[in-house]
Amino acid sequence: MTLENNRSSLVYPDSIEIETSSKSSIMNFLKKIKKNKGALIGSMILLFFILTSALAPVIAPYPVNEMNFEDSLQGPSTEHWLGTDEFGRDIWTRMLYGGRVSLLMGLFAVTLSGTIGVTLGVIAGYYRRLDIYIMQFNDILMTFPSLLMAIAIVAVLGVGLTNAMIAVAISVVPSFVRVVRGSVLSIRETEYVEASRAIGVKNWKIIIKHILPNVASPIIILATLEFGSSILSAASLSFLGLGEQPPNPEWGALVYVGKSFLSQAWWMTLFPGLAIMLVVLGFNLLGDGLRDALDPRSK
Amino acid sequence: MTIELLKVENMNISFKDDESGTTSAVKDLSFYINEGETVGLVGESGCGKSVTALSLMRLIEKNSSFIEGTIELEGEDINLFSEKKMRSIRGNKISMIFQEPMTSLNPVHKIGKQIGEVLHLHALANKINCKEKTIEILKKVGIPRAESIVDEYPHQLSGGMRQRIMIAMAMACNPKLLIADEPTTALDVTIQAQILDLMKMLQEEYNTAILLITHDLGVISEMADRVIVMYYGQIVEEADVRTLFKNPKHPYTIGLLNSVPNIDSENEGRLIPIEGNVPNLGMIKSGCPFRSRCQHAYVKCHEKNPPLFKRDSQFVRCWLYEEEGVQA
Repeated sequence: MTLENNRSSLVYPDSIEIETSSKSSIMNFLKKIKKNKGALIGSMILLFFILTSALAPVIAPYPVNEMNFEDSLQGPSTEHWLGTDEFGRDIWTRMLYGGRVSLLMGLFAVTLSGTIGVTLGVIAGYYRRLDIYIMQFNDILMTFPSLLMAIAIVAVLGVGLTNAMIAVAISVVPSFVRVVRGSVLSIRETEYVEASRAIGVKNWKIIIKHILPNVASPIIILATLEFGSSILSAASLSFLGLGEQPPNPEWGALVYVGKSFLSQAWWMTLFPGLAIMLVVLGFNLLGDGLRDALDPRSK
Repeated sequence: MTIELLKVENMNISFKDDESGTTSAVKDLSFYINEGETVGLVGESGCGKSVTALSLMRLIEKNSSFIEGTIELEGEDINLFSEKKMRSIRGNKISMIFQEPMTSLNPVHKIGKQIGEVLHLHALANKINCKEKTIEILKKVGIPRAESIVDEYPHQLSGGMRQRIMIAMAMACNPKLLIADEPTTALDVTIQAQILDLMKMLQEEYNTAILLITHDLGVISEMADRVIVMYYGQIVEEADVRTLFKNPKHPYTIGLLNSVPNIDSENEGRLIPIEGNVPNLGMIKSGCPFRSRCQHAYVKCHEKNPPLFKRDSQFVRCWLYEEEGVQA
């Protein structure tokens, strides 16, 4: 039913507002996003976490690393909304700061892996001679579970936040390569690419002007979904003690510390865990929504 | 005085196979196109028409195919050109229109930008006068409200309009040779006629030669000066359009003409199809490739592939004409 509604509302604006096509296509896109409840909820969740993390120094009620042993292991109260940890630090404050690390890790991992993955995918898909080498290497990488590979990479590079980010990024690269290569393969065989070759356009120009814009939507969708799973991997690494090091907060690390006090202080694990879950859920909802909105069949 | 624009000699195209070496797609193809002439290239699906067209622009991938023979454009062999020189020829001296107008324009770019790209590439326009020139070209191909169409996307236009845009792109640099690969197959009949008229008009204005590839004999009789009939990767008959339609010689050509509806047909409007299909490439090792579908096939047809026999200005590749013709 909602699908039907979407379709009919898509057809009309296009045919009526022909003159303002470029503006209306953005408006159309926003309209589609608005119609999709999942995407709307997802983006609201993300907006909440992005805003609170960005404003952490302003809205945090306590200094992030200040210990206060009198208040240690207190449950949620009006003074400490989400309780305190074993050193009496405010969990809410630490989560605000931890969110900055987690979100930045996700952003960095997706940017790095996206850049590498798209480049390799385009090369494999467009210049078929290198295809077999890139894809076989990619397949080898894909045989490792991504978390296991991230752990292995951290083991090689050493423990620390930057290395954890790099490890997560590398473990995400294969899925970018695969998706981009597949899309490029289908786009390079289209007649408009052949036609642009037939008017004498150079290869790199064909890639930038004709192929990349047409594979943009799968890249955007994948980036959104991978954003969520990167945050999860980063949190897992921190949980294992391989990411951000104490006393600096990170959601995964907070869960890790809270684990030791699970029987006395449930709030120490619950709230950071909930934050991870909500952010990943937000990204997945947004990714699904984007997939529907950017689907060329619904144009 | 006719000037020879393009001359293809003994062209062989074969593709690398996974198992057994190579598969030959085009065999020993020789033909020429004069300036301002329209040459029709006819044949069933899979007979090598499109491969021939692509090879004229050197758009066949090199690492999976072999091309032999010479392709001379104004006396120069394009197989010897560097990739850079070839790019300056594509879209400039030789350009191409494709079969499927719905997919030959990039959906993410505006019409004006796509036509402007050709002009930029071959330095016929700069940033300032690009839009102006684009509109001028669009008007020439009969696009209404050209000023606003340059800012529209391909999905907002109909198939006929898009094919006009493709023609506009192809003709933007006044090419010497226009290769039209089934330009009207995907369009309905009334639009077909308009597109053909447009191509004729532009041809007269710019003295462009057209290589018209199609399986529609109606289009050929309308447009072409000379016709080449291909079967299984080789030329089976070549003649000027009148001779070919009045006096077809090769059994395959006769079969093709019989399968076109004709108002005065004695056969009560029934069509006579050619039995069977084009054999798969590489299947026939010796003899005439058409023999399995030919009513006149005899022993010799199984033994040896006939050469082209010349009779007046008509060329036929069939043993039936061995006596009356001269081997070309």
